[in-house]
Amino acid sequence: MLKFISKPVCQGLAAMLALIAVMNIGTTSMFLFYQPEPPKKS
Amino acid sequence: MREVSVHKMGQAVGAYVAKKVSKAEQAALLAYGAEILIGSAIKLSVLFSLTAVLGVLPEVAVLLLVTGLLRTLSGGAHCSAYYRCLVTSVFILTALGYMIKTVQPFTGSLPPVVLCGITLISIYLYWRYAPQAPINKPFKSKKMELAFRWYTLIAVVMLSILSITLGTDNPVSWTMVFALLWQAFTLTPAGHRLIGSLDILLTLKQKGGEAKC
Repeated sequence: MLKFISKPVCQGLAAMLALIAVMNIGTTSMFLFYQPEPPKKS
Repeated sequence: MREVSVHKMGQAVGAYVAKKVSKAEQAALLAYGAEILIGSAIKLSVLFSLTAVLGVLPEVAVLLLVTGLLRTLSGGAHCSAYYRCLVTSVFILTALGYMIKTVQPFTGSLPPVVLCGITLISIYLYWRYAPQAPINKPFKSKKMELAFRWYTLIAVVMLSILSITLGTDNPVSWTMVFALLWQAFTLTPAGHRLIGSLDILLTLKQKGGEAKC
């Protein structure tokens, strides 16, 4: 099934995940009482 | 048996997407975004399913919107792991929604001064305690902290004005006021103790894998 997931779909997903991550790095997550550990800067 | 957690699911999705788009250096960032997305989706699904069954979906939707918005700006008490966050917030929001629906015939007959009084208490609590950054996401500067303080106060005042304008006979205004008060309570030392107690009660198996904060 994974073969059918094309690169544009993954690129869109990557952009969405990156946006969510950037929006949550500096603030409290809107719907979570638990705050996941943000990624460390390399 | 392999342990399944939102953290691990987020890591797997992040690594997979990063590999697919040939951006291995962004794997950690994408994993973080995926963890928040998966965690929020599971939580909202559980919460809305339960509240739909109990008939308090509209109340809980308003509670969630108001507390979610203010929580992003003001911060507040936190749980130490995802499943504790899930159980605690579903329990609290459902109980609050049920309580608001139950007392609606009574609150609808109260004078506007009561509504104004509760909003004033809320505004004072936000003025006194907001903002509070999570331990793992501290404010980068005093300027940023001050900005979040003002964003919080502006949002609280706007929501208070909206609820007073809607009037005491409108159930939405009472739901908004209770949401403001609940979120303000989570900023106080008593609110931190309550969330901390619920967090400890749910510590069936304290284990790594999910960050302490």
